[in-house]
Amino acid sequence: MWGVTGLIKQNKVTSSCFYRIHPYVSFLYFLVAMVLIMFSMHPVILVTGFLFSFVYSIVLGGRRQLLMNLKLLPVALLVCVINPLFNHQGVTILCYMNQNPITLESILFGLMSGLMIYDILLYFQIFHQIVTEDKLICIFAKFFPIGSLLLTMAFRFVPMYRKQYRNVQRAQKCIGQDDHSGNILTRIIHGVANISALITWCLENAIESSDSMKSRGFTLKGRTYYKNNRLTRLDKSYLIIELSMVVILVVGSILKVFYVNFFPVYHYANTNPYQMVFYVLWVVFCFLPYWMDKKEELAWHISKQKI
Amino acid sequence: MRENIKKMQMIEETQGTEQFQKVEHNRKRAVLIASILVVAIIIPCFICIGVTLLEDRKYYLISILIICASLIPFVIQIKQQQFSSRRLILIASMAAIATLGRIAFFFLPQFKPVLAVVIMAAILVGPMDGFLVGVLTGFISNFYYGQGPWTVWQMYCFGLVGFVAGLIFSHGKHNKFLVCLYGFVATFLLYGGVINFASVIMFYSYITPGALKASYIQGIPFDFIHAVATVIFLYFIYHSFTEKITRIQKKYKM
Repeated sequence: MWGVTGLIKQNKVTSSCFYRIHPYVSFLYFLVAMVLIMFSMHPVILVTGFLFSFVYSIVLGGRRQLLMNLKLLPVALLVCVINPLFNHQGVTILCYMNQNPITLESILFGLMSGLMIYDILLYFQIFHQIVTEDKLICIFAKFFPIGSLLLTMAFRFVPMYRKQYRNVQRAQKCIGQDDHSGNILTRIIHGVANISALITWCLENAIESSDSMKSRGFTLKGRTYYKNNRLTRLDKSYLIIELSMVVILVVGSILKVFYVNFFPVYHYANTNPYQMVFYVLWVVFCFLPYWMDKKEELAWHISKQKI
Repeated sequence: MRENIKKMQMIEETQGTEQFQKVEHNRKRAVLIASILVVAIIIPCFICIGVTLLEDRKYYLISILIICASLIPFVIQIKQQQFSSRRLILIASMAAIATLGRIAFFFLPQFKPVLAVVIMAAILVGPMDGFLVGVLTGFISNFYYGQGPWTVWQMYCFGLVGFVAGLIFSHGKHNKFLVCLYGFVATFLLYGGVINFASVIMFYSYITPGALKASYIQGIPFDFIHAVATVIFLYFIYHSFTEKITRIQKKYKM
C-alpha cells in the first residue's frame, strides 16, 4: 500500500532526500534521537526536538499534518496538568489544593514530560512516513530473517483478504444472505458465515503459496533474496558523519551534559563553553534530515543555474 | 542446487532417528533454560541501573528495555526452530485476519476481535505460534491505526495472552465455555493489567500510588468492554476456526 503508491506518486515525502537515503541512515537517526529524547529531560534536547519534529512533519505532510499535530496536543497538555496534581515533591510551594501542595518543581517536571510525550508522538508521525515497511524489512532481514518474512507476508495478506472478503460478501448476497440487511441477529449470523467462508479460502490459499515457496527452494542453503537498497557512496558518507556525531553525543550523555535534576530543586548543568559544544552538536544532529534535503535542493539549484 | 537437495534429504533422514531427536531436544531445552536465566539476570540489572544511575526517573526507557529483554527467549526459540513454510504462512495469515478484524471494527472503541483470533490461533496451533500471531498483529495493525509509544506494549500484551492460551489449552482438550472464560479473564486481568500500568508509565512519567490507582480505576470500563468483546467473538468464531484449522492440519499433515 505505502511502498508501491510511494513509488508511483511523487510527493513531498518521496521526493525528499531523507526518504531516498539508505534505511540504515534514517533508522539510526530515529533510534538515537528518540532514545535521547526519552532518556534526557533536558530543555535544550526537548525544545530542539519539538522544533524539528513539528516543522519537519509539516514540511512533509502539509496542512493535514498540521491538523494532526494539533489533534495530538491534548495528550501532552493532559500530562502537563496531571503531573503537579499527583506529584507533591519539590521545595518551592506555590499554593495548596485540597491540602496538597502544588510545587514549582512538579509543574516544571510536568511541562517537560508533556513536551517529551509530544516530541515522541511527532517523531512517530515522521517515522511512519519515512521508514516504510519495506525499509524495516530491509533492516531486519539480516538479524531476523523469519520475522521479516512473516512481516512481508502479513502485509501482503491484509489487502488481499480484504478484497476476497468483498467477493464473499457479494456472492453471499446473491444467495440471499446479505449481512447489511435484516435484524441484528440475522446480520451477525450472515457475517459469521462470511468470515468462515473467508477463512476457508485463506487457509487453502496459504497452503498453496507455501507449497509454491517450498518448490522454489525455501530453507535451502545458498538462496539469495532480492534487495532494493544498496549502500552508495553518499549513503556511506552520511552514515560516517552520523555515527561520529552519535559517538560524541553518547560521550556527552555519559559526562552528564544532558542531565537535569528536578527534585528537590530544579537544576541543570550550567552552560559553560565545553557543554555548549554538545548542545550545538545536538541541534545539528536533530536537524540532520532538514540539512540533507536543503543540500539536495541547493545542488539542484546550482546545477540549474549552470545551464 | 542439486547437491543442496541431496544434503537436505540426508539431514532429513538423520533427523528421523530417535537418538538424534533426543539429543536435539536436550540441546534446545538447555539453550532455552540458559536464555531464561540470562533474562532473569538482565532484568534486575536494568532495574538496578534505573534506580541508581538514572535516579529512578526513566521508567519509560527502562520498561521498554525490560520488554525487549523478556523477548530474548522467544527470539532464541524462534531462531532454533525449523519453521516449515506452511507453519510460517499459517501464522502470517492468522495475523492478517486479526488485523483485518481490528480495521473492520474501527468505529467501536475497544470492541475488537484481535484477542479472540490470537487465542484461537494459539489453542489450535501452539503457544509459540500464538505469541507470534499476537506480536505481528500488534505491529501491523498499528501501521493502520498509528504507531506510537504504545505499540511495544500492545505487541507484548497480545503476544502474552496468546502464549498463555497456548500453554493452557494446546495439549489438552478444550471446549467453548472454557475458552470463553479464559478469554474474559485474560483480557480483563492480563491485557488490562499490563496496559493500564503502561499508560501510567507513558503519560504520568512518575509512578505514584495515586496515579496507579486512578489509571486502574479509569481502565475498568474499557477493559470490561474489551473482555466482553473477546468473549462474544470467541463464542461466534470458536466453532468455525476449530473445524477449519483442524481440517487443514489433517488434510496436509501439519
